[in-house]
Amino acid sequence: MATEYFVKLWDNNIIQLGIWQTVYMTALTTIFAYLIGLPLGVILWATDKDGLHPNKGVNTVLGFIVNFFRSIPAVILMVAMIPAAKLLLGTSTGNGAVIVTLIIAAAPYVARMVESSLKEVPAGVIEAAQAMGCTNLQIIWHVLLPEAKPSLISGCVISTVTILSYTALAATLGGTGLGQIAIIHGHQRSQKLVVWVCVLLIVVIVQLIQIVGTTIVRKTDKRAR
Amino acid sequence: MIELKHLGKIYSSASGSVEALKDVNLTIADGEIFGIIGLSGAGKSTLVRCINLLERPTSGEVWVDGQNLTALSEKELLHVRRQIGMIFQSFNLLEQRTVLRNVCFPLEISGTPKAEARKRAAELLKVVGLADKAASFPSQLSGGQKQRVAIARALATNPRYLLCDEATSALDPNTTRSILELLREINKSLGVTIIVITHEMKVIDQICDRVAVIDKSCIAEEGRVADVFTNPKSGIARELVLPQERPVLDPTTGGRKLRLIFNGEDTQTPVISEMILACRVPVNVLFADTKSVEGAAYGHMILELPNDEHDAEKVVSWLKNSGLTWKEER
Repeated sequence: MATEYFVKLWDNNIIQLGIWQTVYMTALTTIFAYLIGLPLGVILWATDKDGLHPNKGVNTVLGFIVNFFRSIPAVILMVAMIPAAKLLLGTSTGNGAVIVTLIIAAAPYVARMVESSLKEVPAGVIEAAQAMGCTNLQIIWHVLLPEAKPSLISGCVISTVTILSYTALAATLGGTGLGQIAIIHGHQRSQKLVVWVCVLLIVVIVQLIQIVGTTIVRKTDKRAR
Repeated sequence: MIELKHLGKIYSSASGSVEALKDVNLTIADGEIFGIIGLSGAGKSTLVRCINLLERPTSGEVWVDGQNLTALSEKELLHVRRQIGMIFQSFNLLEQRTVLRNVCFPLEISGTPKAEARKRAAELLKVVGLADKAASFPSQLSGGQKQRVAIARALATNPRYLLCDEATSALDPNTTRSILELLREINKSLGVTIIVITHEMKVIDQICDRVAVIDKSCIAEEGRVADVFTNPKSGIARELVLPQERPVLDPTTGGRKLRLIFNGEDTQTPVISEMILACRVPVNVLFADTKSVEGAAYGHMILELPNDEHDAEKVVSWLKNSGLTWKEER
């Protein structure tokens, strides 16, 4: 009986579609969250009092906004950001709207992740670049980001996994994917097998992200191990 | 020529202000190796950072080649900094770049075409003796090798000046010696003026022509290394030049004690041997500290004479006629 329902979902490609939706929502959200979070992280790093271009005002305001968004539980933040999705896309339903809310929830997290990676670059290396007559932009582009690259990639793996868990939460907002299948087809119909299969699939995706990420870090990092 | 005029630096924070430099005046001539020595916290790191304006002095002026750096805009400063190389205690290499690409870096920044930069970098690696390490990453090198890469990188843009901030403080004595030799070689062959910041007298001793002693944010003394070594005037210079805990042997005969001072004049004469042979009197060496500065012997030695007044007088009268500098120790 339990197997029967699962087989029906599988034969109708619902599970397969769920995997694809989870993957592309995670990927799109991660890309856009980094497009916003990476520059934010650099600005947070640079405007810090020991940074390249200290600016207490910018740093405090930006830090407050990032902390504000980060202290709200993701699911509540996503609900609260539905009007933003409506403003941007003209609709508050569908995966597009869900992705917009996901990006807004994830970007502040990414910004802090990036900032902490950048802080790992020794101050002396930055100072050496300044002594060579580098402009601040040259330092960011040619010294800071390349030197922090392995750490940024490690951080990206952690962020991607976090964003994957956000996409499952987004099922409550009408987002599709494995999270939604687990809730609608599994939990609400008491189909334990469906729930467990969805959980297992998410675990597998997380493991794959982790393996790929770790491999890239190992190949790129030239520091002593 | 580098001229520091009435340089002052005050760090202000919520908890109060610290005066790191107080009315510092120095002139560093082209082609010399100039040492700045002081204990930690004396202000020497701040001083060297004021030369290329990594730290902006709160008062005074920095003149390099007749240009007042303190009056330049940030953009103009970037150009001047390319004329002033700098190396550091912690090397500060780019860990994610190969040795060759580290040396290329300042050239890339200043817009040199890649192929040309690589050619120049390869030449410089030859100068510092690391041609075979071009493809290595910094993490695969020893401390001395890292500093050689840093030196090559600092020389890439053909600077007229090289600032060395405690460049050998993280290295063992042998490596220190070889890095200092390399610096001297660079000074001789390329004519680069070198400014050395250190807390170690032996560094000054080995390569510097002139030295400034910095203490409590002020220049306490300045002069030719030989002069400061033989006749340190300030308390801090004496502290640095003469060893603090002098392991003087316990007197054995109870006889008179004499201090002989070597001021670089009688380097070739074996004076002690001559004295003993002439007087036929045994003497006891209680303490000796001599060093070679630019090939001449400097230092002092404490001799204990026999308790026999007649023997002692023989030595003293020989010394009086010898032209050596000496004095009675109490």
